[in-house]
Amino acid sequence: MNVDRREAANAARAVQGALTNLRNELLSEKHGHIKKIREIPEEKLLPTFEELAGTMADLAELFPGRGERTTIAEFFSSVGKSLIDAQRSLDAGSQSYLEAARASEHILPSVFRIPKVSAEVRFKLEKRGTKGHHLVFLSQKQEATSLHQQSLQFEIAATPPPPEVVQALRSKAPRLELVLSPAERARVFDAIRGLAVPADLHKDLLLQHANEVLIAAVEPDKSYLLLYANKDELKHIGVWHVQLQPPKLEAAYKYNVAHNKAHKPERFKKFVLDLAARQAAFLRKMG
Amino acid sequence: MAEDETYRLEALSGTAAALARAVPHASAELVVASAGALVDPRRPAGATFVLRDSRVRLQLYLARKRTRLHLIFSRPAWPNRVVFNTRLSFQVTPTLAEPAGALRADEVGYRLVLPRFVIARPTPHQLDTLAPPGATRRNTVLMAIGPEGRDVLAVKDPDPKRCKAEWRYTLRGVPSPGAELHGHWPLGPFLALTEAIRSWVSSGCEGGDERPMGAPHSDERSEPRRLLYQIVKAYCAAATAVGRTSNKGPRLRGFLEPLAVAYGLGSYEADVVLRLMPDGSLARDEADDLFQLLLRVRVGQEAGRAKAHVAIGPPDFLVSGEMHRAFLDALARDRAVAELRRKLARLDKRLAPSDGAVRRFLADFGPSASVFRTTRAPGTDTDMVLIPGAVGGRRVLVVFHARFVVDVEDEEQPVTLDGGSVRALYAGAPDPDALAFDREVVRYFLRLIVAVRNWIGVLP
Repeated sequence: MNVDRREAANAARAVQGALTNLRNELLSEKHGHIKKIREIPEEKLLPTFEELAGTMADLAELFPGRGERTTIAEFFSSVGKSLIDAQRSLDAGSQSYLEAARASEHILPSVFRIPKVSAEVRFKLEKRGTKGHHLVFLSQKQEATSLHQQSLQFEIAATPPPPEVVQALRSKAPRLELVLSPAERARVFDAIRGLAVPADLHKDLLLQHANEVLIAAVEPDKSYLLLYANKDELKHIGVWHVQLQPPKLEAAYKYNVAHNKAHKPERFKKFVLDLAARQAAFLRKMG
Repeated sequence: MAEDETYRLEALSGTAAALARAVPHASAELVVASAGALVDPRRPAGATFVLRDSRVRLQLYLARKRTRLHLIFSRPAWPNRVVFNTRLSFQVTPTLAEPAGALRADEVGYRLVLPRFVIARPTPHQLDTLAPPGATRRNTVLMAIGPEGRDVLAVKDPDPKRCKAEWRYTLRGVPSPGAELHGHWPLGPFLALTEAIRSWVSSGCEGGDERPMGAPHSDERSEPRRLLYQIVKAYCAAATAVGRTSNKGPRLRGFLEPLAVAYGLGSYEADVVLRLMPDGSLARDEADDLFQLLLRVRVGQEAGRAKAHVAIGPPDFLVSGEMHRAFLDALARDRAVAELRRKLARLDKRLAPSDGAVRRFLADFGPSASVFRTTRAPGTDTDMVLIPGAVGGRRVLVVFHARFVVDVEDEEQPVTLDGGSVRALYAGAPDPDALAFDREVVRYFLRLIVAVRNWIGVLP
């Protein structure tokens, strides 16, 4: 059972405080004996009782195993997540369907969407300490016999977003783009060509296999990251940082160096090799 | 957790606000989460998900504990304490209007919607000409009934306990001589009154004259007004919470802002079934056999200001709906049909020659029946059933009362006729002068009239 000790200690202190308040209300100030209950105005006593009940519920809240209780926000959040997951599965299904449709003249290309979801849930409201309410979802059996149910009806609809929002989102979303402009790539290689650097930086290797070197701009026209992999050996993969002015070449991940066993570069290397092969083919076509 | 967990009535605002606030909050999260699918340029731009209409329906119970009113979310098992059934519902829907700013319960405008047929402020001339001698606004209730409310029934000094009142009926401008009631009423005016009540209930107890009402406040001495204040305050809290969350929702900033949906609170309605003591306070003991009245509160916004419409209605007077159907279903069962046939045949043999004829009559004219509870008792109620219809081309009226066992937790048969309890009062062509109603029915009407008069006095 994982209980946050600090949180539990705070909650327990709150219970203690509320208990002290209640004790003070119940005890006579003068003689320390318990007051007759009618001597205490209800208006004064009730909030103290409620405070105590609230703090105790807060403490109980920290301990798991409380059944199907959830907050309203958690409920909506889980419904939304399920819906998005369902649409994601449909998107994947649509993709497969489109691929299958491409091969056949008789199948119309279609994508599948969830247009809307309407639902009604029945629940009970249960006090959640001092923090509001829990929704307690009722079983089918309880639904049939219980009348003290609250209900929430809702409809979630899919709405097409305005094109300008999609455009703005896509243009502003950060993404890693390869430098494919021959002129810009030439500037990067020119910058390192004249450098006198140690042999273990493998400058010549980069220049010899320029079309297979992946380049990403860190700051366009100022600095770049270079990735290169050779399929001969697992350790033949490296990442370099290049600065144009003043020209500088550094190793970010050293080529031809066996790193410790915790590193698993296989998938990374395959990714770089596949992308480099496609890039080389592209650059050859561009002449 | 105890079933009878009680809250102070003041907790209603916090509950309504928390439920209402959850909708714009959840919708913003939903938009953010689903907007992730728009980012990938390799895929066609899909759709974002938004919460459209959400309706919250709360079934609550109100009960007194000493001087305070308390709120219970679960049906309490308190045999002797008076518990007032309360329904609260509201919608949270997308809106193009500006989100509501902070609404204050003490700045709400109130309108009292009067029962359509009640002449709330009769003039001295009306009292002189339409009511029994000695009538005043305090001791007499004037009701505009009949076709288009052209006839007037005036009831002076209604005394349900002794089943006594003075009355005067003005039919198409011609006043009847004043008369004293001693438990027997002629069919004509009271059939018209039943029809007026039926029409009032069918309209949701709305559509009557409205008049401004003094705004209640938090420390009202009058309990119904204090209750009203808390219901309206809950609206203000919920509407303010929705507006604020729409304005400051989670994470919908920057380029996601155009996807933000503003929400508003609408269709806020509360129904409270109350029983009032003669002094206008709420009943304390189940033994107080008081008339039930429905307090119906509708709150919305007009020109940026919250407006509350407060109406009253008779909750025990059924003209449609599930319970109305349940009563008719109970009457259509074999044993009930046989009993009805036997009892009605004593009054009019042609009306109920066979069980089949009774069943057909119920099927054809049951939907236009009025069913109203005249006596409450634990588990068994006495209800009056009034069915206008036609047999063989002639207009007929069937009036009877019977005891029914009502168990709302029984989904199959919530209402069952208590065998042998049917008492047929009238069966045949409606004769306006016939003394059709017995003391039980007369008492019901008198209690309704008194309750309406008291309400009108309690609320403003």
